[in-house]
Amino acid sequence: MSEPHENTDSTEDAELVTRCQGGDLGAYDELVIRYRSRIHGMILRMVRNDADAWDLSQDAFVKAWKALPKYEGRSSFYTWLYRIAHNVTYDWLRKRKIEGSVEFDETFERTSIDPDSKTSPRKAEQPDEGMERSELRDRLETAIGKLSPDHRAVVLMKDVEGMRYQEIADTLECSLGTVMSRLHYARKKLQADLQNLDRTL
Amino acid sequence: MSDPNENEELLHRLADGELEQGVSAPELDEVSQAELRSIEALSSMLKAELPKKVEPQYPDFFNSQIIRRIERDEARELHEASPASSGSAAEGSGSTAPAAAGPGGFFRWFPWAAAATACAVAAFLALQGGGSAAHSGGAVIASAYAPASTVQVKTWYSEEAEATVIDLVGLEAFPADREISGQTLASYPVEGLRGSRIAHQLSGPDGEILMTLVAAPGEAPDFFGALVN
Repeated sequence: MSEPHENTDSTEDAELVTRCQGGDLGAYDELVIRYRSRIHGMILRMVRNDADAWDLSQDAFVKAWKALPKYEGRSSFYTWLYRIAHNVTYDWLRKRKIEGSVEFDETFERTSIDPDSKTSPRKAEQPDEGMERSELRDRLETAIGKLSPDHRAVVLMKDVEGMRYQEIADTLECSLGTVMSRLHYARKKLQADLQNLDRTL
Repeated sequence: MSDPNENEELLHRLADGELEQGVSAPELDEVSQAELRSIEALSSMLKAELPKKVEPQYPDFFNSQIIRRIERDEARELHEASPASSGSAAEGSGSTAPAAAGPGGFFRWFPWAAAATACAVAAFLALQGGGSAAHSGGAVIASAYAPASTVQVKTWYSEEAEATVIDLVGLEAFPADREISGQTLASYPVEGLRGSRIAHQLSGPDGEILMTLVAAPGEAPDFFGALVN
């Protein structure tokens, strides 16, 4: 059974949120530390560009701060934050004239990422990371990059974030049926793209 | 399970451990079992190879930039919402009370008592917010008042200095060896506004009141520098 997405102590989150709603930026700094790696990771997977992911992650946290007075605690803080980050990312992708129902061609992939770009911060490679593993990750990321934002978001939320179907539906503000439909399609597409990678697929 | 879509949905639910309540796992034929394994393999591969967490590079800087943006945005909003400069007491009956002096406000207008000499000068003062390095940013001036009819108070945020600048235009000159001083008078909450407001007073060399102002955020800022041109 897939685990629900990780949620640090919700009591601590609630206390920090209350302090934030009272104007305590120090408390918000703690929340940013707590969730920045997950939010940044999600956005990076969606936009596939380090510099844009950096900017959008910041936009999401600033927007979340401004929306805090409206947060009523009906969902966990992380779910609420994730929704804001997703919407920020989605709006940005739309502005780049990428339609949700249309899959990307490889042109987008080539221009959106330049691994040799000096402006793109790069993670230090693990000394023991094999070439095969690196190639596998590249293949997976390329295949995911070919999906539309709608399909990409669902498969990442399910298979990377480990969110449950209802959580995905709540975050994306769509029906369970839509989640299932997108997930099926995304997985089928990925299986086709990765066919020769692993015979099991 | 004659409906292919239903069958497919069932397989995904089985792979994800999300069978609906009351539905038990059915017997699967070989084709369905192979498909189930395929879905599970894909899901496992994505989970294993794509990390959930990706820390942004320079994480402390990442945080500080967010805090700074928030403070700047709030400063800008507050400045736009409230008058940041005020005229002299002669313009009215002195009823131009600071906009942010809500319940608990205690402003009193002091008569100008300084000697009037020399030509008009502009005095630049800077008001910097307190707190940790991660919360750098200027204080927000909700309202300001100068008792002298010849002095106009202007405030703005300087990106270069990373501080709120208070410009006393028309302040009369005084000798360089005479000092001016700033005092924090009180801190009070204002209904409907986030954080507290702090009332400050700037006094001249002879103790005369040069200016009073109300500022945010809640932490007591410091008058850290003054230039008299």
